[in-house]
Amino acid sequence: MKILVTFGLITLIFAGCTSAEYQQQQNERERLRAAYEEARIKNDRRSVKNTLERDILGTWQFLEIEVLESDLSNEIQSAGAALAEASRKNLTIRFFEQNGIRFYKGENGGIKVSGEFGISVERIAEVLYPKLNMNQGAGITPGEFLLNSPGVFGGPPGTSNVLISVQNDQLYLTLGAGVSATPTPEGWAQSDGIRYSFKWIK
Amino acid sequence: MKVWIIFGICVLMLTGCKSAEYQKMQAERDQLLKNYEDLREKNSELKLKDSITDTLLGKWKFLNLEMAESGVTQEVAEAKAALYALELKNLTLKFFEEKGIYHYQGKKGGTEVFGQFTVITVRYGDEPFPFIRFIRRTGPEMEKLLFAATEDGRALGLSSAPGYDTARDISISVTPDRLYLTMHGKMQSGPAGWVQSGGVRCYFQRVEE
Repeated sequence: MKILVTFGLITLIFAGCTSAEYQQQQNERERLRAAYEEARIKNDRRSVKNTLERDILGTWQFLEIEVLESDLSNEIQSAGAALAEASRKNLTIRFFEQNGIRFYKGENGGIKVSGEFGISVERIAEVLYPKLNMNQGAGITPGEFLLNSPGVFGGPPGTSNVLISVQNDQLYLTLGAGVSATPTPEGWAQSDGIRYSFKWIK
Repeated sequence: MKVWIIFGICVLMLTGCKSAEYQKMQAERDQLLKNYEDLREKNSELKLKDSITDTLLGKWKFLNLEMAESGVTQEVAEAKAALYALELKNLTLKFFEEKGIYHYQGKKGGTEVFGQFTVITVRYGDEPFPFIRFIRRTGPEMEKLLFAATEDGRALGLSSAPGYDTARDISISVTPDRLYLTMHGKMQSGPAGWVQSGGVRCYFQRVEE
């Protein structure tokens, strides 16, 4: 009888411990799953794309051009950017949606442009890089109009090297960020590119 | 009548203001354009090309062959370069102009080379970077003669791993008494990241104007 009681007690203790350990494991599993879901949502390409497609809508007034840091000297590029900036003081661009299609319409003095636009998001390692695509409808090419580079949006549809971001009431378009396509005699050259800023006005 | 006069004055003032603003904008634009042009002129590719071509004309005697700086150990390459430098000991190169065409002529023991050359520039950032292209008429290719390059463009037969060419042509740097010709290494990806395999530099001393 004594033996049976002792055995019963040991079984109960063992069963209790197993259950607590199982519970702990289950909690750990739940926590990790939640962290994974959170990370997945944060890095979801679709949600970044949808947010930008919504935030870009409206009329934007050109603000400035900044030549960002580069491994190569870029005085000439900076002087060219200052010149391009002076000729865009009155530039405005409107992004809007009509019947599910996204359009842009721009104006700078007597120059008028229009066409369609889209946003694509590329994932490199864990980082998402949203890019702006523009297809010329009427007027000069969107690359020439906005960025002084006619060929910028000239590639196959969906390909673009213009990074886009919207922060508060400003729109940033960055061109030429990254490592040079071919190395220089001293090796790869890295550049943060040229950044075009716009202010939301409507 | 009074109203008309006031209205006229207002119109004149407005026109004057507009014109002054336009003038200011135009002046600013002209200044920016001048800055841009000045910088382009300061880093003129044509000026550099002409200056190098003019300084290059004359006769040059081989001095040495060495490995250009690199992020990796190059003991074998350095030994190879030192050995090959012995073979180039009596090499002379002559650069001259004839009827507006630039020629080179070289001699190393019984080997003779002859052809045309042209200096080109490639701009990296602000800086134009000068290269020399040799168009062979007779004798071996200059890459083979100076750098013992293989058919696939490997100086001294080095860098067998695949990589990116940092420059396809031979780069040139010249002072009144020294000439440097460099065949650049490749960018190669290894377990520790990107490295630039060593380029090879050949330098000469002027012997004749």
